[in-house]
Amino acid sequence: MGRTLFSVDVGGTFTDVVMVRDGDIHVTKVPSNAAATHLPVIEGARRLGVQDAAVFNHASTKGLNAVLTRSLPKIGFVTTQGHRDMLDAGRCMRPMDNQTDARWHRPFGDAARPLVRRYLRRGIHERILATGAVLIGLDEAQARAELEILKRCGIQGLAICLINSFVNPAHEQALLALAREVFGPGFPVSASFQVGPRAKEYARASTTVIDVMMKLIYDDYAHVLDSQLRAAGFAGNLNFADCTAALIPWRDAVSAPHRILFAGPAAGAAACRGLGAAIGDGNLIGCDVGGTSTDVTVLVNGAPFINDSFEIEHDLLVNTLSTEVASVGAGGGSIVSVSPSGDLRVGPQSAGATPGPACYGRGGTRPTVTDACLLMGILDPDGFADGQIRLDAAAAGAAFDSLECRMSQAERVRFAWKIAQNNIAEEISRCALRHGLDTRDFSLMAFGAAGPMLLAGVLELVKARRLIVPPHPGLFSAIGLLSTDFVYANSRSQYLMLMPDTGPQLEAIFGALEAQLRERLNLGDAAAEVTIRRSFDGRLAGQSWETPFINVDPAALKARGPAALTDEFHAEYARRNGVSFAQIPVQAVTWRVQMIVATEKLAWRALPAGTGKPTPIGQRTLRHLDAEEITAPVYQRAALGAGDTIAGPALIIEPLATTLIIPRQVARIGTVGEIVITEAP
Amino acid sequence: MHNFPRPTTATVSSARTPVPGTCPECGAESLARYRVMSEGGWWLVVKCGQCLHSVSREPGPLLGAFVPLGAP
Repeated sequence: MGRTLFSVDVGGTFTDVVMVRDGDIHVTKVPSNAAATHLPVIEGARRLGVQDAAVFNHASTKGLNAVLTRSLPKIGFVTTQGHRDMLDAGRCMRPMDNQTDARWHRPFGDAARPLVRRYLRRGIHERILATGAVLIGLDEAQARAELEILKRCGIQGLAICLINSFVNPAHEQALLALAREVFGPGFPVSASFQVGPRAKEYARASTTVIDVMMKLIYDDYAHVLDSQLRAAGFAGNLNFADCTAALIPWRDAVSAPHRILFAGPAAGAAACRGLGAAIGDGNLIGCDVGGTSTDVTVLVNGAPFINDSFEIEHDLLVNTLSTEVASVGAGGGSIVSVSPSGDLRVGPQSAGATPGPACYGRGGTRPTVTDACLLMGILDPDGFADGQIRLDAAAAGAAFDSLECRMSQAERVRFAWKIAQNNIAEEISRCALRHGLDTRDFSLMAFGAAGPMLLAGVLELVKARRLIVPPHPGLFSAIGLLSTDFVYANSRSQYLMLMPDTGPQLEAIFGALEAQLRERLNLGDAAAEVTIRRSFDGRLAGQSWETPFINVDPAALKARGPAALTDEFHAEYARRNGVSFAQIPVQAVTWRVQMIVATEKLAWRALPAGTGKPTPIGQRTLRHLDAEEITAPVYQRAALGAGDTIAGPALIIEPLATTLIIPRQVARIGTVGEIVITEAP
Repeated sequence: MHNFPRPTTATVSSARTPVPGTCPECGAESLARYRVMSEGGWWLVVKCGQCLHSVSREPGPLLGAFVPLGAP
């Protein structure tokens, strides 16, 4: 008998809670509460019974939403004099679509919505060179005066990022000590040499700013969550997931919380990897269709692409290892509108959780994709979200009628549904092409509450091998949090051309990183169970960007020296980009060490065999799918067994999702209960 | 060809007119009105000399200090 495992994924609309007890998966969905995010988590934990849980793994969009909506604490930022506007300028990159738009503003710039207002960004008289030598010593009196001004302005936290501190952190260390004197101990401060001593000051600065903001957002939240879980009888370990869905004990997570900002989408990729391993399919395109957007992740041979940073908004960077997730504004809540030229459009605006789609009856008047699905007959007005929300078809119809265009209501609904699918298909194709991959070699994994009802049509568009709807698709990301390990990481930047004589330097760098990590973690008896993974971010000589996370095999490094690293770099470069330049030398930029402690994971259980031809529980009329109305049989997912086959058109319903199988498709139930949809032979 | 004189000061600066009152952010009594060039063109601002918080900000002369020869 295994231990009881809990996971929770806090989204904008719902908080998904999953429990695995004795190998069985139990789930519940609780409406999210933006004002008190922890309450739905506690409610879900109480519903399922958290008393005997050994672990409680947590992912949340709380911090991400705070940045996107700028509901942020007031913080100060200190940097080398003359550089405070780097937070305004970013990398000076415009989006491709706005290259010639004179009115475009950087979304986090001073003319738009800055994270830190300009007067709270202060210059410090000091300068360290790229070699680490001190050109101008730290002017402590001037620095103290600037900090005193920030104190009088009532800042709640402080970010410190000085030029070239990744080479020599002495001035940042002195400023940190000064800040402790001025603001007092316990005041939230993040210094870039601690957050991540990486080259390139803008990304380092934006990461440090985000880090201190997340300290202010997550610290209280995590303490309250932990204490209330304890009050509910939980006696296990509370862990937070990072941007690759790796687990971190919560106290470590809130000490460097920029790492947990983007955990939810990464958890979806982890879930795909776990299920893919169980069913023997490693080439997957995960499509998490939520209320606001569709997140697309590509996995090749069971591994998602890992990047060394991610963008919250255009050019708003956070330096941390993160699963590559592309997002397109097409979800259940995406608003259907008419452009000035008369085109029907879907998204990127979303009705969100409040007011939500018109059919929720919460004040929304604009039509959405969910309204279209209701009018098409795909959704059951009485069975949505396990009966927690009753859908109003009349309100959905009125919302579509309110659009100012000449199309009939039937055309509006049908085209909205098709446009949403085309938007998702376009993003899937773009993701595959970016890596030189062919969608015909991949299976689509449809999850998120809206995925199973939208992606059958996408399968036709992208010509993927098949569409897989996992068990519990509406909570699949939360399930992913039970498919990962503890990962402790350390990294630093040091530019080094990989030449035959650089072997000893490589050993020294990795050795130092490992020693720091062991000292910090104090693993004790657990040290034997730890797997150590070395990697580096490198680039071809002349490039200004890096290919991250090149694996370093210690045995190959010992046997072949730096040549082993360059070969691995070229192989990874080819895997990511579909092209290789093996004749060009490689320069390493950032060095990484990870210590991985394996945890107990969800083991997918085999589903008993079915009869082959299951019996429908009823039938439903599908409208606007084709020129004529279609009568589709409805099946209960819980009643299906492995090997059962269903020909489209058909609907498979479960408490928190509805799977649509369109005509000319056939669904077969797989070994662990996954629905596998393919083109009919 | 124009022949401008060399500047006689180490740095150039805009004349600042003191404004009575205290900064709502840091409480310092060092408000001043002056012209700044920022995104969107020239602005007439009232800023705190200590913390640089902008107390007010309104559009300034289109060309800043430059006065065209044909201007009235």
